[in-house]
Amino acid sequence: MAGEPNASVRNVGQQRTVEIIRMVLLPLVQLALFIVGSAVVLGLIIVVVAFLLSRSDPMLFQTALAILPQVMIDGVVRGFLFATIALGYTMVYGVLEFINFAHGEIFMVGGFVGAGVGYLMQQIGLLTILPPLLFVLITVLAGMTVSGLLAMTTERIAYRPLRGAPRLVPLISAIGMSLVLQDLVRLIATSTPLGFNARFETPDFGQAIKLAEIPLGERSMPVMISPKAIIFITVAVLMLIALNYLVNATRLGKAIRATAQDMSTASLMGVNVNQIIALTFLIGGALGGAAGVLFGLNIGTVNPYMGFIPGIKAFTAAVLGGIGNITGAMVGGIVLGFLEAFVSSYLSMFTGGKFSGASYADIAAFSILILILIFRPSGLLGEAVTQKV
Amino acid sequence: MALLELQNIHTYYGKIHALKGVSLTVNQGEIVTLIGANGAGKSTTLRTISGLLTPRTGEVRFKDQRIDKQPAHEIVKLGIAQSPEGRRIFPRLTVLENLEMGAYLHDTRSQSYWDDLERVFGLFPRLRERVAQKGGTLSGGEQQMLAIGRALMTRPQVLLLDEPSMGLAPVLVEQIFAIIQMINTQGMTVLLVEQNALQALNIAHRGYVLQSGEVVLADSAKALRENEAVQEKYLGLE
Repeated sequence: MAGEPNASVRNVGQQRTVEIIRMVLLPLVQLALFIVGSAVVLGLIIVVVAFLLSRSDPMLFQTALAILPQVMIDGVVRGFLFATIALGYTMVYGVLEFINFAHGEIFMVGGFVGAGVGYLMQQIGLLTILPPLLFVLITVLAGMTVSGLLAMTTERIAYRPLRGAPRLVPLISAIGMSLVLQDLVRLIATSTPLGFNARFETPDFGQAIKLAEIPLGERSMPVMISPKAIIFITVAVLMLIALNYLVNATRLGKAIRATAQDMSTASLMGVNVNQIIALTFLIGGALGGAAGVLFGLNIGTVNPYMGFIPGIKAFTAAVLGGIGNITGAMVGGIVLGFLEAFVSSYLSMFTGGKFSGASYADIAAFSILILILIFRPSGLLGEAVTQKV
Repeated sequence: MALLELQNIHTYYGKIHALKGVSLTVNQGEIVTLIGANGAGKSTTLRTISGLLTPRTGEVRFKDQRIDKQPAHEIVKLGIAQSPEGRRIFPRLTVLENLEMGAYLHDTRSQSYWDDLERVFGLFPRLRERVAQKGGTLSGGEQQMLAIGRALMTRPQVLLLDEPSMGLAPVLVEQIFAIIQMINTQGMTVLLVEQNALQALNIAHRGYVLQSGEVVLADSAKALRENEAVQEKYLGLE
């Protein structure tokens, strides 16, 4: 060391670069593995069950296999929806150990902003001339901005003053914020031309793309993916990459992680903890807002209460993945999305139509969730909770 | 002129009156130690200086500037660093990231950052071997080294050390204290809080004895070592 101090320092620097690349890529690889893993495991279960049932109904096996690719695509889309919302819950929980129950409403507001922008564009006749991708870019950015700022404002007025209070107090405040936002948006929406059930006007995205055609006796079963779904997945993946880079490879991200691990010690390092917390809300809110826009875009309408169920499910996804863990939220979202897609497509088929899959999807998904949490209480990627000394 | 000065500080935890008029001074280049029993207010004093707690009345002055109303992240900019009680390493950050957090206010691409890092690794060679390891996987002694190293990375003029010997094997305690003394001879002013009063008084220039939130004795370290009341109560000598 005495002879060549700089060599060892440079070594440390190189190690760091490798470490950063590893930390940005690792979550994405993990996510990809979970997508493939969920698809394979659930696919195999379907094949086995369909095979067992096919003795009584020979066509069932073929039909079950034929719709399998479509169900998987559906699962990925749902998964990314939950994943992007779940990130908002998990980031805030990571820093404050607090569940922001108003996050579903932040998501909903994003949807409304998108619908509002779409409506304005339609009014000035921009909708028909604007390239669809540019439209997506504008609405997503608008949704991210408004939702991000709204989440930050919520923290400032409803949570920060309660920072030192017992845990249940900010929780109640969050539930209150959730109701306030719902009805505020309802008031705004119904007093503007948007209306309660606002149509999400979009340019023409074109027909669904046929990926394959699976022959099924005399008929054939197409595997389709809509351009909107492709946009959804692409935007979600891009946001996840950006978030991973921000959190794992930048100075700000390090400050976020340090604040999450030990707030008062982070402030001793010169980190302005209040700023970091506001930033966490901004990022989580922006992601939720983007998810809201993309969701509205896919569904075609938005309403002031649409945030509740996806919010609860995304929260579930965050817990499933290990709350506080960013990669965990993404993974949890994907797993929950797959579970739902599989149950809603196959349940009625396998029970001979006795149970409608779509209405039992939630029950089935949540039952599996409970099972997973019984055996892994800290979630799929969660770390065992250790007592802070 | 005192580098750091506390005048009649009263600090509360809610309704609990933890510091009842503490006054003390730390001069440039000294090691000053605060000794006292559990709950005497030693850590509270350090936390009041570093800005984690705000005193209700009284003044904290650093280089003749009032700092008692400033938040912790501003105070560290002025040149006061604290190695907190219980070490408080960021458990899921690597050793290097922990040190980078220490240098949060500085440019980590500058040469002076690398010099700081090299200095910390010079003081604590064990940390160099563990750069890529997560902070939470280090042993107690290594965590203490990291906590001190991390505080040094902020480029302080005063280093506040809260119980650096807590929970460490006697050999390690010796080592840590030797390093504190070495850092001091290189020019660092140190305010040391210790339960291990004997060790603390051995390396300190001056000391204060705290009891239920009040300074009951203030003297040179040598005089305190020889004081019968101190010997009986804090040094375990009869």
